[in-house]
Amino acid sequence: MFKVLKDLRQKGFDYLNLSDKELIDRFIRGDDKAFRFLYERYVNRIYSMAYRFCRNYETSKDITQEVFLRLYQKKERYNPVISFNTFFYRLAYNCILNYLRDHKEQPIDEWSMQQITTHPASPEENLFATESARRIEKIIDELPERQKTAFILNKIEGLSYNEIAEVMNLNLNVVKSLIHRATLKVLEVENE
Amino acid sequence: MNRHIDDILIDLDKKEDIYSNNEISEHLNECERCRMLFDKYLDMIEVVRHNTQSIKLTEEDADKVFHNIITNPQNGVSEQKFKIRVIAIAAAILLIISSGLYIFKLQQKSPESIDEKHLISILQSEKNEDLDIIKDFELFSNLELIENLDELEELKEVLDDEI
Repeated sequence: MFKVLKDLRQKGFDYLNLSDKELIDRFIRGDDKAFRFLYERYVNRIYSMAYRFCRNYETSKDITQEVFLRLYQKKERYNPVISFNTFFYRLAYNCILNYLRDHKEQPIDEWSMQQITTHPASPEENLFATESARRIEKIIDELPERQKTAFILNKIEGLSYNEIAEVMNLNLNVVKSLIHRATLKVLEVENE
Repeated sequence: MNRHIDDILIDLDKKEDIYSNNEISEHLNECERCRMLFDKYLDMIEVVRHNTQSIKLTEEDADKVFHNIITNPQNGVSEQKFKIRVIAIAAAILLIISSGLYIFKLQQKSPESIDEKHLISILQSEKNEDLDIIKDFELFSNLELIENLDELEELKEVLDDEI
């Protein structure tokens, strides 16, 4: 747990049981403590999403900061009709896209693929699982931008097709098709 | 059941749908190829989710990012980086100017400096010139004396003659 939250809990504030919607409502009403809990809940999700596009620790950190900063500055723009999940991933998606447009040439961390580990039972399985994990990551890395986004949001972040359509501003059938094509590509390579 | 798993997957919105989908379970009982493919599909999702959990900020950096947002909410990362760049450039210029001044002062103070050596050599040469002048003056004076001596001798001779 981050230091900022430890401090808050020691002072008796614990919003962990509140939903995203309750937290953002409190934050809009001026309760900055709610922002801290939203931050803890989403920081690594946003960071890992940014990292999958940039493959650079510092850049992904900057994007993460930019996303939360925009949330902090533009909280009033949140529309309670849509879920906070959708609103926030849309914000993140736009930040990542903006960044990628502005920085086409960027350094890629070499260690990124070595970070990937699994927890299998035996060393043989370990080798296989690690190799398999790397192969899958490589395929995801090479997916076209929209396929990758839709795939990550659906398979990793657990967003529904409808939510992804909202986030990416696309037609529902286009989203289905993007995810399906990405899934088949990953499975095809797994079958080789 | 005519549809294979490749086609069925397109209709699965979330992971939970996989387990509650009758079409899938019926088809998997009949088709071995799809059973293998389906196992790979589940493994793939598991691996990707696990990998994602390992991609995260360090606690220290997460706290730093939060601190940056709270302390300076009006400035985005790009503005903050621009400010840092301006400060760095200004610092570099100051460093260059101050080091230049320092070197200049060192050169002025040091007796070993080329300019000073040059000055000393000029002074010494001027001194030598002066010395030469003095020596010349003495020589001339002596010569004058000698000339006077001659005169005196001449005078003496005249006087002797007169006597």
